[in-house]
Amino acid sequence: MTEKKEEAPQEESSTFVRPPKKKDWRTISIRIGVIAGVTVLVCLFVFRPMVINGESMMPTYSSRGFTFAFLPYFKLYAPQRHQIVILKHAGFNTFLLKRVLAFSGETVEMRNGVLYVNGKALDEPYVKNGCDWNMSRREVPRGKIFVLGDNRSMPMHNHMGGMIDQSRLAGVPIW
Amino acid sequence: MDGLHLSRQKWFALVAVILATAAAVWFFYFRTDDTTAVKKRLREAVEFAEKQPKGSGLNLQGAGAAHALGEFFSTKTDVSISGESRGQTYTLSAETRAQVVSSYFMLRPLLTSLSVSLDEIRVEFLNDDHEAASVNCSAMATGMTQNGDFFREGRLISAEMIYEEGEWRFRSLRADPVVSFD
Repeated sequence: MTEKKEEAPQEESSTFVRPPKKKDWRTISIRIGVIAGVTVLVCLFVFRPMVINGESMMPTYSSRGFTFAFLPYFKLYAPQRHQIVILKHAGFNTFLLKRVLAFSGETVEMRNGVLYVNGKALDEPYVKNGCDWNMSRREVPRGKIFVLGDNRSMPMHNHMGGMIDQSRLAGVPIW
Repeated sequence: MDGLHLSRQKWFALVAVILATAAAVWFFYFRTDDTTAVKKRLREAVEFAEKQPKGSGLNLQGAGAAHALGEFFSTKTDVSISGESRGQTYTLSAETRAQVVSSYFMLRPLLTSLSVSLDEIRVEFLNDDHEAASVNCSAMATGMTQNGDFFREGRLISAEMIYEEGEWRFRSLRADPVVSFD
């Protein structure tokens, strides 16, 4: 009985220091594979990492930054006015970060940098750089939304904004 | 050798099975279906439209590219490419293959480089004979003008292609900005 009691701790310590057996490596590899696969799927279809490059959303987003896009958002919710959204530009690797300002059927107009939606001036506290943009009144066509960036310090023709197909809404930034 | 001594009917059956298997393999693995052919043709057209930054200074290369690009268009076509440049909206349009060639020949020297990537390609055939197809995709054009201005533009392409003279050719082509004020 005494001999057996002495042997027990020796076995325990030896299991701690021994190198992994073949079976353990297989288990570890499978686990790593599963974790990597799940991570890739989550990054592709749920939380997609995005590098922000450009000044059109300053000062809300700096010209260089990083965020994750929550992709299933617009399968669950409709876009809201003033909401910052991520839009498919062309392909699956370039996206636009913009703010939704008007919806299909509404009229938009800009007078001396002030945006009018359905004839009423829109309060946009996030726009810090004033501008003198002018755009005649026009209706947002069916199936489209009207988006702009927060930085309007550049000439209007240098700003990528305006009407875009609602189907190009890809998701929302999570911060 | 005794094992190969088959009756005539069995030989016929064996040959029929081999031929059927070969036909099935060809059909499922090697045959290019019409959708693939249209997509391939579209990508080939883009390759001719692109311009490498280290191109020859001579415009001979441009002439060759323009002529080759023209072959992707039907003799009577309808091309409309609109956009904005320096505050001005413009529309490039062509109604014949010759106009496509000359328009591209004039446009090409204004660019130092041009590369185009196509994505989200959707092909729908307009009839059962698969002789006409509607093609939609998004295109990202990046490049540099001779003034040194870098550009990066996303366009939505909508085209109609027809099978003519043994090739898929554009009967119409529109390239509109993904996002625009109009």
